[in-house]
Amino acid sequence: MPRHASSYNYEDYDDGYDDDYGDGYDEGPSGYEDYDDYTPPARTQPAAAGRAASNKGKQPSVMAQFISQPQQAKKKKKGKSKGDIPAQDTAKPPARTVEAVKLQPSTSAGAGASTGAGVEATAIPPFTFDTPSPDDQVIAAQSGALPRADKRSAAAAPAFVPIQQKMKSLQVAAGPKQAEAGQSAAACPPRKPLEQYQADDALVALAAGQHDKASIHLVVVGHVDAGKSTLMGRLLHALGKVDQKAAHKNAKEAQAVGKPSFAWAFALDERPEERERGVTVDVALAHFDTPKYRVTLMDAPGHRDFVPSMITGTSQADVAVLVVDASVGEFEAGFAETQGTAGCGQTREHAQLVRSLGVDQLIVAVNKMDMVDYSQERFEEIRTIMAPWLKKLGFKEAGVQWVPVSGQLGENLWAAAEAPAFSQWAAATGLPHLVEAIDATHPPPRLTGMPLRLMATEGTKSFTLGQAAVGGKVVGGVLRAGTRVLVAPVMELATVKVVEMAGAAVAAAQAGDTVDVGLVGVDPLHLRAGTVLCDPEFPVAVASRFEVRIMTLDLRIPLLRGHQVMVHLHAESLPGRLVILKATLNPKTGEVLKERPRCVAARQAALAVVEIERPICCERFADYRMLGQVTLRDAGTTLAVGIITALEDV
Amino acid sequence: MKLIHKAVDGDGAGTVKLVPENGEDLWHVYNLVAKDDLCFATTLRKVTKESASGKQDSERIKLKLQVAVEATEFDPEAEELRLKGQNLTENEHVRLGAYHTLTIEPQRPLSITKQLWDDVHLGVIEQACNPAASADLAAVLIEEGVAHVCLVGGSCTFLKAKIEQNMPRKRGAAAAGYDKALGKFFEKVLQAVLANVNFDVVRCLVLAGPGFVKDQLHAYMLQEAQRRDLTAIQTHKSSLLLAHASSGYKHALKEVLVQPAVANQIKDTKAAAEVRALDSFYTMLSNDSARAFYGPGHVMAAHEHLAIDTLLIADSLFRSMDLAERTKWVAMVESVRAANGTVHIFSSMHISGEQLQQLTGVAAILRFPLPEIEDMEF
Repeated sequence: MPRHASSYNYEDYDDGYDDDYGDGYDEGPSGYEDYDDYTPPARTQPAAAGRAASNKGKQPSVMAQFISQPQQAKKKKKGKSKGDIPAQDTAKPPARTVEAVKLQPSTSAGAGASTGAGVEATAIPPFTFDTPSPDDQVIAAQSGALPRADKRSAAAAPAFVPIQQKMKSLQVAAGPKQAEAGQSAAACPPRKPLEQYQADDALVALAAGQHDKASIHLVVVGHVDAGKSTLMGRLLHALGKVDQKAAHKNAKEAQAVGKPSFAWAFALDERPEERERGVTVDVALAHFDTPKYRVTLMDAPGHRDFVPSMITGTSQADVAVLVVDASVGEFEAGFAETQGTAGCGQTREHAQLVRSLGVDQLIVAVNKMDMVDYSQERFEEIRTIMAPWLKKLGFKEAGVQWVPVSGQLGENLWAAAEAPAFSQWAAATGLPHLVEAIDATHPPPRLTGMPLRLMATEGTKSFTLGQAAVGGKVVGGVLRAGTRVLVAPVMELATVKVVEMAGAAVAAAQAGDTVDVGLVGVDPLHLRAGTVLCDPEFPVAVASRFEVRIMTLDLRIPLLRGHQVMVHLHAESLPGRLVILKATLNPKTGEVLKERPRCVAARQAALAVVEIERPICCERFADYRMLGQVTLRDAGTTLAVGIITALEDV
Repeated sequence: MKLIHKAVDGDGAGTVKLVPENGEDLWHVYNLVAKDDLCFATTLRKVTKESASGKQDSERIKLKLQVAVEATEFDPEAEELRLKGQNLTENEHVRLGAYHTLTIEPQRPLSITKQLWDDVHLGVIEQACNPAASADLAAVLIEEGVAHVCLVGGSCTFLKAKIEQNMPRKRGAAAAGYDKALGKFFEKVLQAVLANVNFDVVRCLVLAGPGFVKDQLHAYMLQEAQRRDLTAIQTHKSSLLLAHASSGYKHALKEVLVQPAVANQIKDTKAAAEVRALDSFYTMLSNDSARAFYGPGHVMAAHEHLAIDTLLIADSLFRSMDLAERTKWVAMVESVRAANGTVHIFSSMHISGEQLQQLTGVAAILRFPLPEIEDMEF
């Protein structure tokens, strides 16, 4: 924007109307001091810093005033934050400084007024902050009188330390962090190393004891019209999760819109426009039980316009079901390397995304077997085409299971195939049916011993949850009703009122569970997709700039510095850009091939710095997998996938 | 923009008087005015007077002032251009040498006096005064919960409104909340369109985005236009176009501008030419990386070999307060043109210009490969 391009300082901007103060140009050099235009460069510097910190055009002029009087400003803030202490308790010096600060902006207006204030201010020695303030005394007394005060308030009111010492220690601590992007530094409270966290064992045990079966998250992906929703709708019905009445209603509605074959899909596609068009738009959530697991099912959209939702769904998943259409021509379309002008078929793109989003267990459901007369040859053909390619993507052979199914007719989903043409070879090859295949997967280790992180995929409300609630997945730690949480990125404290799992209240939830959480003490406006609930003492990082290790896909044009991309990270999608290309890497060993490359070509690994429009919650991939996976897309195609390697000093 | 008077002598020194007519013209003026130029315009200034009784009165006085420009600022939201400098006009209210900021708004005449009007300056004036080159296109980029209303002019893209709405996800009983939120969202977008789009000026209104939200918005707009008797929309039904875009954010505009239905409406304009030029640069970079370079160092090196076929350069480079820097780029533009090369001066107020600025502001497609400069470090 031009404002940044020019060296112009907005806060020093003079509109030209009020340059002519009583003290003017011809009153000698002393008059210059009050002139914005004559301000020596030294004073404009803090003003610029103020703008960087708040990134707003309007306040900085006030900010600049504060910055030039750091101690007074600090005192004023303190007086505000401790608002519950009666005003008359506050001693004279703080009150006076507040007044002085208020007067400050007007000093430039009239020489008379400013000198008056100056005389008064000099008459009283400035408060040096080396003795406990009345506030400090009150707090000390309170914390002493109430030994049952919880951990947080005890932490908030330590023994008195003179401010000079505090500032000294702050300077040392803040040193290396100075380089961090201004906004994130302002928004993010100091982070304790995660290793210091001590899990509450009783709570972990309580959360683990909520269910007798382990939980597993399943995402269903694949090309548009491969039959994902139908397959899962049929399965949910067979497992008794869709009652007869609803199934009948869906069938009738599907008939009414002239799409009788979509009856099963309507169990998951509930929105009017999804039903009208027969296309899933948003990830649908459902729960069912297999003999071994409690399964949380996410039915992702297959249409290429909705890949961002698919990414959100996949980033929460442990296992993926890749549905491919066996019918002639359809499989080929989904697997095509180029589809018209825009990228590859979604079978390809989805499989790549699934792998790069850290899901290594895959069930390939070869659907619509009824359309090819349950031909074993067709099934084997698809398997021979896909298997080597999946291996190339990084799926291990043991991590991939193959299941021929028919979603529409319910063949080989929850019981062995029954159609004669199907059962004779299906039994002989020993292939599992879909539910068996799900039971053969393994839930990944859960981060229950880490500080709490809950990634919200929606802000919601309901009768039982209250007005302020979020739905999402617990990525790390445990929580229960009564847990104090920090709502990021707005950094507001709230208390968990109720935790629900699949619509029923539970005593506690742990990492790996999908839950709905009702909160008190936070504005529902702050609760949206992309919000993270975290431990107040070990808050999530909030940054607008981070270092990523990326792996580019089949790019049409190489990635350059400054490339504008859509950045997808857990449930967030934001415009951003690649600000620095640090190096290209050897994809196997990670060793640097070239420092500061001119561009990154297709199928290369690279280290880059990404900057996004506003700060969002994120973590290093090494700490929390699900909060550290980044997908870069542009113009409807995925350019690169990556992981966050560093958040600070990049 | 109206050109009232132009007096530029053989050495390039002289005065030009212009009347900017809209925000876009102000942008052109912003690109013309540099440090140390003299600008003459009507302006307002607050003057404080002391009456005999010692009472202070201040009033706003309309004045004509000439200032020697020290800093310029363009505010696209307010459609204002601010030129700050020291006063040169003798006047009872403003002392000589006092600082003053001229605020230039559309329809306010302005005289600019320069020591040197170069090719790039004169090109800007010519372009700004050519009515055929202006193409006004309004676009609504929309995805679920996010919409941007933009006006695309010949050389500027103005973001007029940004609408965000939290959308509840789908789930059984809460579906009603979703419908309500969607209705609210569409209503906000419709209001933004009515407030910002003048259907008599724009050639068309493009609704673009991923999925079906744009179709739903289209249906909603037509339905509401009929219900509430919004004649502006009803009479221009045919100028509503639907186009695909991958997201509801502003940078998806570049996908919209190349689509045939839209491109036909704006085919002769800078916006479309810039998108195409940048696209061919990227294509060349991926096909033959030794024939496409970006960054001042590489481009200068390529220029020394007289290898530049197409030069892509952002107008922000000409706005440099450092005169030597500007002269360097002007000389490059002139010499590329002299060598029969093509020069595209990108407007940094367009999407493609923003992108080029990210690529350091200058890029070039070469006539022949220069692998030897590929590995040079600058």
